[in-house]
Amino acid sequence: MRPAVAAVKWLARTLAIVFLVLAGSTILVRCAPGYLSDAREMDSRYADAARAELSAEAARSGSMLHMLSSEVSGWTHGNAGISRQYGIPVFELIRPRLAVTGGLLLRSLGLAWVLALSAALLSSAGRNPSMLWQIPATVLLAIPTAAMATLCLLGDRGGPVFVMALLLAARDFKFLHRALRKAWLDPHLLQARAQGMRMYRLLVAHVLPATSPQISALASLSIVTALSALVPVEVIFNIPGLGQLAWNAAMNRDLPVLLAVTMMMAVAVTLAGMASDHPPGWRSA
Amino acid sequence: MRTLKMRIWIATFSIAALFAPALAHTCAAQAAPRMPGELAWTIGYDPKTFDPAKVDDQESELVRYLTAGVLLRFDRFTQKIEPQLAESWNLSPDGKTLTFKLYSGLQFSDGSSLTSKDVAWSIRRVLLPATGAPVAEEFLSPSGVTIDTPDLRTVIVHLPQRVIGIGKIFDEIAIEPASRPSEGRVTSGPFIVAEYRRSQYVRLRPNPHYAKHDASGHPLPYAAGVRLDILENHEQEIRLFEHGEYDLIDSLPPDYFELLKKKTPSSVRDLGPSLNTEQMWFNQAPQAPLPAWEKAWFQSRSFRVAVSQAIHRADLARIAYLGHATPAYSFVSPANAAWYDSKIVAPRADVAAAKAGLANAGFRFHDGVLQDSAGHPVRFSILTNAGNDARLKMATLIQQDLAALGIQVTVVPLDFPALIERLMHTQDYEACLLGLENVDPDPNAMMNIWLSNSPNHQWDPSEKTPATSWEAEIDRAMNRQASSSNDAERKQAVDRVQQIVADEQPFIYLVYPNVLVAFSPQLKGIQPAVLEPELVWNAESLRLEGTR
Repeated sequence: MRPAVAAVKWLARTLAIVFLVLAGSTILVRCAPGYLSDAREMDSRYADAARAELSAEAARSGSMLHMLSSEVSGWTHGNAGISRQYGIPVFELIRPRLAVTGGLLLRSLGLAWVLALSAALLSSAGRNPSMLWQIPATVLLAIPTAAMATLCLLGDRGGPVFVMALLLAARDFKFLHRALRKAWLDPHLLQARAQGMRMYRLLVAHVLPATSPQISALASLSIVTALSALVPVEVIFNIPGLGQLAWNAAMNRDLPVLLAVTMMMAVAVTLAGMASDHPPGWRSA
Repeated sequence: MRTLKMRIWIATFSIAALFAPALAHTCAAQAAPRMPGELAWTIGYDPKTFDPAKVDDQESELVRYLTAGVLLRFDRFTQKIEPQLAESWNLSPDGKTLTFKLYSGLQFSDGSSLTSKDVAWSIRRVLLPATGAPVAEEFLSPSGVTIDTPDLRTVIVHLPQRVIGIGKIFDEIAIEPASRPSEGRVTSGPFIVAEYRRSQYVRLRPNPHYAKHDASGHPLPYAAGVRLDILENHEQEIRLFEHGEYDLIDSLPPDYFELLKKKTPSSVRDLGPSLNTEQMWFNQAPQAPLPAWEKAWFQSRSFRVAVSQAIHRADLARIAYLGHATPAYSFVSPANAAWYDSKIVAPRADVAAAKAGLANAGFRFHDGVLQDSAGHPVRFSILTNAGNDARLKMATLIQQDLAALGIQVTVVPLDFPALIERLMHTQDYEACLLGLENVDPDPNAMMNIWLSNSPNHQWDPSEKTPATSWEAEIDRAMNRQASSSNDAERKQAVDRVQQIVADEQPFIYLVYPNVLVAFSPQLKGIQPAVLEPELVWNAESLRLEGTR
């Protein structure tokens, strides 16, 4: 019974989040300056009749009720609506970009976690915290993602995976270092080390199980951070992924696309949160 | 502990080595490998359509230019109309009947014959209101146009009224197979659309049945294809150009031009002033939600002239455009030899004269602040579009220039949709700094800007009747040039409009940005022109020689 209740709760929470995203994004985009304007209005080649048609179209699509109903209709038709900017179903825009963004996320997260975990293990296992690791992590945390991406572009070295991985590794390292350090200094571990227990055994049987809730929470936070870095990284490196699509949609007040991307992000964040609420079990000694 | 540390170090380095490609990865990566002999350059965004009849954005227009066969082509280099699919053409003395004679044996890219039936169908489709083609409006009364095809090579177009520059309109009408619109996949131009990957690239391949040949009888186009990468980021474009991945860059921003000039001076070219203008204007609309005293300033000729006199245009060109712009005093650029009037008398930089003019108009200086006769301090904001560095720099320089008159200016960059809403809907702005892209040298194309009843009459849109006598005079002069078949009379009318605009300063012209381009030394057959598309107007004659 308990898993069923938990599943219902999770579903209700997810639906509530999706609804809030839908309503919030619609209101925000509708109220954004310039939602009803069309760049063609500035084109002096258009005659009055064409302008009148543009204005009528804007008035039709401007009402909140019309916007919401067309969104709902788009989702019930299974295409998430028609993009205002491109004039094609939103899913047609999203589908090819999913693989691009997914690949970028996986590679970045993989590299980031390897770097962060290795650095945290090294720095936390010593007697004193190592500045060798702390200083670069602090410096990297201070550099905005867009600035790092631009530097890479100007230096012609390092790509989007590198930038995302550095950003994530710097954030993850700080948390990992603290959690591991605390675990290493637990009295029973100090005693076990004094008794000569093998370090590998200590790590697998004591340290990792003790820190697994924090690591799990950090993993979900990592996904959220990676999602937030997607837009600047994909825009600056010109990667045809969801981040770039979201940026263009925001610039062009393309509500159907924005909604679809935002909802996908919301679902991804909710799933990540759920995963961190239920970390995988770790065999403890 | 040491053993563990050593193991972790080894593991770290091993894994880091695995991920080394991520670091070594250069940012200069193209969307797809390039085919031998293929030309490549970038466009800023996805073309909105490949249907040549529905084109209304710059990138779609480029694809249409490269793929469409047209009856007449406006030669961007000579600025003259040249027959393309038409062997000959003539316009009746009353300007209402055009007769085209097609070349014999014309074919579409799929090998099917191109006849007068296809031409008539293509023109009719463009004229249909359902198509929504912007070019239809250029016929003035598109519904009244009729087309006859007495034989397979002759097309007669009957116009209900004379249309100035009618020949150039046919440069924008692609001839497609009758009843088989193909969105650029079957064309009669040099290239056809072969592949499109959204947000990545558009690939064109040569039309095997293209009618044109070079002087030695070699079929055109020379290039094995064209790839247009969709890329907004100028830094990346420059990198890829330096790596030889792109053959040319159209419309370089000045700072990137200077950057490339330092590295590869032979690849860049400043073609001099373009037809485009950068200008600022004040909101003079009576219905604008501004205080009455501000409207009074903006409607005052003395105020506008004083502001114009306070602006140092040479500094704008030198600092904002790094010397790659020309001070502007009129809407016709010196690049437009046929219409430019060198005798225009316009306010020049003269701060003392500006102060005197303001004093005569009832303004006074109080503690270094300019005040109107009622004691209101003169301050206003200038809107401009965010993301255009040169415009932002110009606005900042104007802010400094006007500070010398005691005017406090705030610069407000907005993204384009927000800016358009302010200009076209709410009219909630005081001054605006924007540019105008002139693709047509004939000032008749600017009718909607100068006629007082037009929504694009920016300083006071859609006037029911001309608000001032000088606007009424502009209306008359523009209508005169639009109805006359006499070139000298048209020039006289346009010169008069230029002088009125210089006297009244509804638009304060700032600079003509220069045309800045870059192209690879391997690219042969290139003849840069100031009209768009500057470097690829003769794309069928471009070819790559040697290695990159």
